[in-house]
Amino acid sequence: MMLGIKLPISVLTIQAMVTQPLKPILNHVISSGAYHAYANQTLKGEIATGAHMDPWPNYTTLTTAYYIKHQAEALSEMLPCLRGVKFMRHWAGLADMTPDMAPILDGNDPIEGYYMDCGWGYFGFKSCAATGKYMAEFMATGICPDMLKPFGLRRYEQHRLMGETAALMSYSPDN
Amino acid sequence: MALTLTCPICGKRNGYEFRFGGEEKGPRPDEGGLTPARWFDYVHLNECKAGVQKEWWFHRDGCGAWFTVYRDTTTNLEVEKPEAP
Amino acid sequence: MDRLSQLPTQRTDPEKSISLTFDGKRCRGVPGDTIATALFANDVRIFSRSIKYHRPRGLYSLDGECSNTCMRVNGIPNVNAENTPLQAGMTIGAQNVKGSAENDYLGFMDKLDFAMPAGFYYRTMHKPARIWPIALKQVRKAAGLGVIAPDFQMPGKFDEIYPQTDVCIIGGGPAGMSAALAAAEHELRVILVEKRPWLGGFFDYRTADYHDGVALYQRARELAEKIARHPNIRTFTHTAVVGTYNNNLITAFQKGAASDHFTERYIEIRAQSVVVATGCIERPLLFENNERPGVMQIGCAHRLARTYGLLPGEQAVFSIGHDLGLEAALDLFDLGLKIPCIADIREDGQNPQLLKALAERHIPVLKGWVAAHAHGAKTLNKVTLSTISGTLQKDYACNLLVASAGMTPQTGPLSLAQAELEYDNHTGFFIPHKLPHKMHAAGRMLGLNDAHAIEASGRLAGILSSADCGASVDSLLKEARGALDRLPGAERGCKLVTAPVSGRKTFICFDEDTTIKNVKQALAMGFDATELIKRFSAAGTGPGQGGIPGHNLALLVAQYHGDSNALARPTTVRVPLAPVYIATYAGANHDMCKRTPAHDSQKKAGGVMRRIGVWRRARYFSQDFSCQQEIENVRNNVGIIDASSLGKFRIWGPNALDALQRVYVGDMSKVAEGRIKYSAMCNDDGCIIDDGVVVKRAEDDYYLTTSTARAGATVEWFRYHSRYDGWRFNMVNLTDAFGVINLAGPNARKVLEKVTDADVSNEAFPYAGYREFSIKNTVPIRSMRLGFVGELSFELHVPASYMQAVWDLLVEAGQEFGLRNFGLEAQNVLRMEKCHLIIGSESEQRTTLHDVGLGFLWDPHKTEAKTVGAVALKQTKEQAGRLKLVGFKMENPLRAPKDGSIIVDTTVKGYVCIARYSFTLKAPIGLALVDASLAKEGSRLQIYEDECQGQHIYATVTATPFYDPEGKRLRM
Repeated sequence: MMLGIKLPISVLTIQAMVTQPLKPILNHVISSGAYHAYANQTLKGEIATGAHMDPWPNYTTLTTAYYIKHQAEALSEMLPCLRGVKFMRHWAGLADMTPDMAPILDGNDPIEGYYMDCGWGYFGFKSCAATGKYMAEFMATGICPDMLKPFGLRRYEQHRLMGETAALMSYSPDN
Repeated sequence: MALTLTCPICGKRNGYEFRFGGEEKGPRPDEGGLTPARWFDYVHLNECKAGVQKEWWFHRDGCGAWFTVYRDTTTNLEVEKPEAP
Repeated sequence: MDRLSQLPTQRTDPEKSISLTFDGKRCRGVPGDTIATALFANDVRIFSRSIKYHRPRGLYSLDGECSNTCMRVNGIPNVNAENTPLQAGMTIGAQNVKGSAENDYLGFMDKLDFAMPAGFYYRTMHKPARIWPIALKQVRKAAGLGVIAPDFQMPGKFDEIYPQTDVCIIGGGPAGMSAALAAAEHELRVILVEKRPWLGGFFDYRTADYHDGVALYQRARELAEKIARHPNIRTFTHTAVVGTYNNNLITAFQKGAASDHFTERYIEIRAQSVVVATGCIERPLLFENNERPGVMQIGCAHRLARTYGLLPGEQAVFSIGHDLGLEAALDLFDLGLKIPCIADIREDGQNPQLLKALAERHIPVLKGWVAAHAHGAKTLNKVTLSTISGTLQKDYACNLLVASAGMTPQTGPLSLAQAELEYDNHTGFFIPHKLPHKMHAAGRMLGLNDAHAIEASGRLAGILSSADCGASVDSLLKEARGALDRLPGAERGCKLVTAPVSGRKTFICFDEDTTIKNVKQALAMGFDATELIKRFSAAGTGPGQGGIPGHNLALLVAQYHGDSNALARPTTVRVPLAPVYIATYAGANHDMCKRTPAHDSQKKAGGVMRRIGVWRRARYFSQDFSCQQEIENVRNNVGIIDASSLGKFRIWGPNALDALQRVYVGDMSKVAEGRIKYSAMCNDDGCIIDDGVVVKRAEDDYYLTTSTARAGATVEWFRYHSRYDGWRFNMVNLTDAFGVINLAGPNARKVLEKVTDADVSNEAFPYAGYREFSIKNTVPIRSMRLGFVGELSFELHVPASYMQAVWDLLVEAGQEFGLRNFGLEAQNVLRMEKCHLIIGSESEQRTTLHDVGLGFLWDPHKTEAKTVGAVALKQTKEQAGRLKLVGFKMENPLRAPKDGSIIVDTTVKGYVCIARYSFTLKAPIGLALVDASLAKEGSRLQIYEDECQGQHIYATVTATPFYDPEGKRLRM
C-alpha cells in the first residue's frame, strides 16, 4: 500500500484440527481429492487433519462450525475407525493465496531494492530453507537466480501461471 | 465464523448458502487498448482491505441472484453501508 | 465400599445395581453412577498412569478436567470415566500401562525425570542425525494415550439438530436458570444448555442455607421445576457447549439418555442473544505430588458424597483457600469423614459462621498454611503442611487431601466469542471487560459467591438478553440492577499459585506431566511468555486442553515478571471446549448423492457404480476393469451409456445471445439452424473451464450443454459475467429435467430406427446435426449427433420421467444387434483414442485453450462482446515455453504408465494425463501435457512413475488423433 504496489493475493483463513493423542496407527500422510481431506499422525500421536479455507478473505483467524463438522463427516468415510476418536483442538491461521497456488518471489521490479517473498498460502514451511538460500543470493548479487525466475510477479500479466508441478491434484482456493 | 448475509430477495441467510465473487472492481474494461498491466489489475489484483469492503456474492443455494454487500474483513461480519466520508 | 444412602441430594438409586467389568473383574455400580464413581465405589483408587512418568492418577476434579480417568470402555479409547454414565455390561480397562494401573511395570520412569527436562525431545535424540529414525519410532510408541484398531467400528447412533432461538443460556446453574426464567417472561424462545445430567450447578449438592430454612439444593430443584414447566424454555441437559462463534452461533453435543434415539447428537444453535453463566472450576493447588490419588478438589470430594453417596476417604486433611472448602469440610465431617486439620491459605476473611461451626466440631483451622508435600508411594498416606512462607511444617496422616487454591472462572465460551478479558486483582479472576455484541455474562464466573447475588446477576443478564431481542425492559432493568447492587459483590479471591516448594514433582499440567521445575527450566532458557512456555513444555496441550494448568500458568508467568496486571493473559482458547467424538460431529452423515433416472436398471445390468462428483454413475459393467468387451463392442457394434448427469440449460430472452457471446469463446451468432455448435468457456486467464454444445431452438432461445462437473456453476457464471450489463435474459437449469442416452457404434442407427418413425438417415440427420422428434410417437426427444467416442452416435435428451421407458425400449430394440452397456471407464478409453478432451484430466488450472489444441474454437474478431478469456487468449496465442497437449505411444508394447506419472529430463517437463492399453490400436497410448520443446511429433518422452526406483520408461510423441484421424466413422 505504501509503495503503491498491489498484489494478486487473497488472504484466506485456513483451518486445521487435531484429535486426542493415540498410540501409533497411521504411518503415512493419507490424502483424498474426492473427500477433500488429508490426515497424518503427529509425533505426539494426535491425528492432524484439515487444510480448508473459506473462500472469502478475512483476518479473524477464527474457525468455523461448518468446517469441523464437514471434516468429521469426511474422516468418517475416509478412515471410519477414527469415529471413536475425539477432536481436541481446532485452530486457524492466515494463508495468502495467489491465483496459481505458487508463491511470488521477486525483486527489484518495479522498485529497486524492494524484494517480495510472499503468496505461500499454506505450503511455505517445507520450502523455507531453499527459498532463504536463493533469495539471499538474489539480494546479495542483485541477479535473479534461475531457480526463482518462474516465480516473478510479472508471470500473471504474461499468463505464465505456475501450479504445484509435482503434485497433480486439481487445486484451487475452492478445495 | 458464523457469517450471515442478507440476500436482497431472500433476506438474511446462512453464509454458506452463498458463493463469494470477489471485491467490487467495476465493469469489465473494453478490450481495445487494454494493456497487460491494466488487465492484470482488473482480473487479479486485490486491495486486500483490513476493514469494510464492498464485494459480490451469489445466492447459490437460493434465488441465484448476484448482489453486493459491505463486510468487515476484521470481524467477518456483514455491515451496513458505511457513511460517505 | 458402603454407600451413604437416603441423602436428599443424591442422584443415584442405591437400591438397584448395574454390573460392569474392570480389568477382568466383575464389579457393581448403581443407576446414576458415572463410570468413575462406580469404580471408586469398588475401591479403585488408581485409574491410570500418566503419559511420561507413569505416575498413578485418580479422581481429582470429577468433571473430566484432565485425562486422569481416561479409560478404555468397550473397545473405545480415551473415554472420560468422570463424564460418562455407567451402562450395564461395560468392559473397562486402564490405558497406557504395562500390567495394570495398580502395578505398572513402567512406573520406574518417574525416577528418570532428570533425563527429561522441558523440551528435551527437541534437543536430544537427533545428534547424530542417523539415530533419529530409531528415536522417532520409540517416541511415537511412548506418546499417545489410547489405542484404536484400524478396523474399529464405533457403536451407537448419531444425530444432528439445528434449532434457532431468541435467547441461548449456557450453563444451567442458579444464574443460568434465573436468566432463562427472566427471558422467558417476555414470551421469547429460550434454550438452556447444561453439561451435567441435571440442572443445579453449584447449588445441586449443597445443604447450606439458601433462605428461611430452604437449603441450596432445594432451591436448585425448585428453579429446575419452574423451568421444566415453562413452555418457552427448551432445556438440553447432558449437553456440553463446545463452540461459541461470532454472530451468536453455538455448537454443543448431547449425550443421549437410554430413552433417546441417539447415543450422542450434534446441536447447532443460532441465537439472537446469548448469556454465558458457566460458573467456575477449581483452581488447582500446586505442591509436591499434588496429583497423587487421594488428592481431590473440593467439588470432587463433596459431590462424591452428596451426589453419589460415596465418602471420599476415611481421614482427611483440607488445604483450601475458599469458603466452599470450609463448607464442604463441615458437611463431610457430619457425614462421617474424620478431619484432623484444615489448612486455609487465607490469613483472614473466612465466613465467621463457618469457623464457628468448625470450632464446635473441634476441627482445627490453620490460617496462613498450605499443603506442601503429599506422601505415599501410590496413594496418599500423609501430607506435610507448611506456612505460606515455608518456614514451619507439620505432618498429618490421612488418605484424603482436599486441595484447592480457589476458583477459576470458565471463560472459554467468552474467549471463543472474542470477548476481552482483564485480570482483576480483587477476585484473582480474568473478568470480561469487553463483551461481544448481544452476549452477556452472569453468576459465579464474575466472582460472586453469595447465592442471592448469583441469581440476581443471572436475572439481570436475562433481562439484558430480552432487550437485545426487542423486549421493552426499562423499568425491569432498573429494578434488577438495583437488586444486584444491594447484594454482596465479587469476593476477594485467593492469590496463591504454588506452595513454597522446589517444584520438582509439582505438576502444573497432569496430562503432559509438566512440573513447576519444567516451567522454571523453560523460563531460564528465555521462554518467558505464557504461549511459548505452553508449547515448549507442552503444558496444556494434552487431552485436557488446559483444564488443569488453567489460568495458573498465566498467573505464574505474571509473578515471574512481577506484574500480574499487565502481563497475565490466559493462553488462546480454541474449539472444542470439551473433546467431541468425530462420530458425533459427523452426526447423521447421510450419504447424499444424485442418481440418474435409469440408475436402478444400470445396477441390475451389472453396473459397478462409483461416486463421480455428486453423482453415482456406472464406471464398469463387469469385473474386468480394462473394459475390453465394452470398448470393442462400441467400436464394432453398438453400445449404450447413461449420460444423464450432463449439464443442460435453456437460455432465452432479447439479450440471450449477448450473454452467450460473453462466456463462450466462439462466435455464437453463427449457431446454424439444425446444427450444434461446439464451443468452450474460459476464465479470464484464458484457461479452459468447460466445453459443450449450443443449439438454437427458436429466435433468442437456446439450449446448451455443459460438463457434469461444471453444471452447478453455469448459471452463476453467466450471471456473474453479465452483472453490470443490465441484459434481459433468463436461464433455467434443466440438468435434472432431461435424462441423456448415448447410442454409439456402427449399428447405432439400426437400433434407433426401430423405435422412431423419424428419418434418421445420414442425409436427413448428418454429423453435428440437431433434431427433435419422438420415440414411438409418444416421447418427445432432442437429439444430437456428436462424436465423443469417435463412432456414429446419437445423443438423446429424454424428459426425465420418460427416461427409463426409453432406455428399456432401446435395450429391447438393441437385443438383435447385441447392444451392450458401456460405462465411464470404457468411454474414457474410447475418447482417449480420439484425443477428445476431459477438462481436469487433460487440463489443469493453468492450461489455456491454445495449450490443448482448441485455440481454433476462439473467434478473435468479436471484441465488442468482451468475451471472458479473450484478452488472455490473444496475448498467449504464440507464446513460447508453455505446456502443450500431445499424444504418445509407448516404446514398450505391453504396458501403459500410471495416470499422473511425471515426464522428466533434467527437470520435470510435464506429466501423463491419461494412459491405457488401447485394444483398438493394439498398443499402449496416452495423452500428456509436456513442455513445448518436447511437443513435436517424434520426440522421446522419459517417464518417471511413482516408486519406479529410477527405472524410467519411454514413449514417443505421435500424431493425433490415434484412431480414425479423418473422422470417417463419425460421419457414417
